[in-house]
Order: sequence, then C-alpha cells, then structure tokens
Amino acid sequence: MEQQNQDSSLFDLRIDENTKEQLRGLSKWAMIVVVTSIISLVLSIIQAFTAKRETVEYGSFKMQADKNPNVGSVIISVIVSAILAYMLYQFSVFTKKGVDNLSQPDLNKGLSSLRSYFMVYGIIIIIVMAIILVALLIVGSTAALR
Amino acid sequence: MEENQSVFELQVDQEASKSLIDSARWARFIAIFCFIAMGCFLLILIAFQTRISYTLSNYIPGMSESGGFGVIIGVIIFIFAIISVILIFLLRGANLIKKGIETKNQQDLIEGLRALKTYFAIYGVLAIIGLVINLLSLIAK
Repeated sequence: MEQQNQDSSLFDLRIDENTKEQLRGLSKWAMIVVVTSIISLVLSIIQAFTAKRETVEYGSFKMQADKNPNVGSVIISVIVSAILAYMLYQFSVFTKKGVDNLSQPDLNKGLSSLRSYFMVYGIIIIIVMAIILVALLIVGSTAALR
Repeated sequence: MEENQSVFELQVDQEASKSLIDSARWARFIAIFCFIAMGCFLLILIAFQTRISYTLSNYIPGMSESGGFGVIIGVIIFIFAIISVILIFLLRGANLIKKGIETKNQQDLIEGLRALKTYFAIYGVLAIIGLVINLLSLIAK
C-alpha cells in the first residue's frame, strides 16, 4: 500500500519554481481583488444609506426617484460579494502560505477555496440568469396580452 | 539527495488535482455561460431596436431615434469587448489547467495558472478603476 502511494506520488505533478511563481502572482492579484471588493462594498453601503429622493426631469417628463440603488438590492449584493471575497481571501492567504512554507495541507486548503469561489460564482450566475429569464418572460407575456 | 529533496517538495496531489479540476470546470462553465448571455442580450437589443429607439427619443430630447440606439449599442459592444477579453483568459486558464492535470503536463499547468493570473490581474485593474470612479463621484456630490 505504501509502495503504491509512493508510486502514485512519483507520477504527481510537481510544484516547481515556475509554478510557485504563478501561484504567488495568482494569490497577490486575488488579494488585490478582495481589497477592492471590500472597499467597494463599504462605498455601496454608504451610498445606499445616504440616498436622497430627487426629481428627475427630461423635458416635460418629471418623476421622483431615488438617485442611488435601494437598500434591499444593496444588502443582497453586499452579502453575495462578501461571500465571494471571503473565499478569494482564503484562497489567497492559504495558497501563499502553502507555497512559502512548503505546506501541502495549506496549499490544498487554498486550492479548495478557489474551487468554492468559482462554484459559488457559477451558482450565482445561474440564479441571476434565471431571474432575468423569468422577468423577460413576464414582460413578454404582459406585452403580448395587451 | 534527489529523494530527500522530493520529500519536501510540494506536489499537485489527489486532493489538489480534484480542487483544480473542479475549479477549471466551474470557470469554464462561467466563461461559456457569460458568452451565451452576452450574445442573447445583443440579440434581444436588436430585436427590440424600434421600441428602444422610440423610448429613448421620447425621454432624451434632441436625440434622434437611430442616434440614441447607436450610442447604446456602441457602449454595450465596448463593455462586452472588455468582458470578452477577461472571459477568454478565464476560459484559456480553465482549459489548460484541466488538460495539464489530466495529461500530467507541467507546462500546460503553468500556462493555465498564468492565464488565470492574467484574468485576476485584469479583473483587479478594472475593479481599481471602478473604485476610483466611484470614489470621485462620491466626493463630487
């Protein structure tokens, strides 16, 4: 059994210096994305809570509207962005730690976080597209019934 | 000497391989799905061209029907072009990482990781630009 493990590890891909360099670069840029995401989140929260109702005018057309997005949609986007940022943060931190300290468990944890990040991203895209599709169907059917 | 060194080397073991292949699958799905969504969006825009042009000319005085629609299409194509560049890197990264792990090809894995790094780099730069614009608009209020 031990012999078998040793044989399989012989055929595993190695994380050589070039691969380490790519992984370090990847974790650095991932961290930049995380930091900008968090600052954007804070800004969008500030904008949502300081929103004023303003009169929008286009010629003879006048209406009262919120200049900024409503609080509900901001809360949803903040939660989604926070989850994604957390996963990307974990990927960045553990991958860097794993590569720098030659720690296989840390590297595996980092790569597992990358998988979770893309998975959640994919699922969110499916949900958003489904909502858009339903909205389009409703608008289309309403227009057809008129 | 060689054997001792390999004990302390990091490897793409079973667990790491599984995580990378799953990441690549989801990344590929995201890229392809976004390409399809952008195509559908453009088709819908073209299909409702007359209605959109009419609405625009009503709401924005002085704008002709064809002019307004042309501006909208131009802006959307510009945004889609940027998104497409990002998605191409994501798709390339996903394909190469998957291929590299399945065929145990070190070079493909490195190229895949490089493409993924470029994806995050472009994403990061665009996020910073967006953040600066957002900050400036907040300060200007």
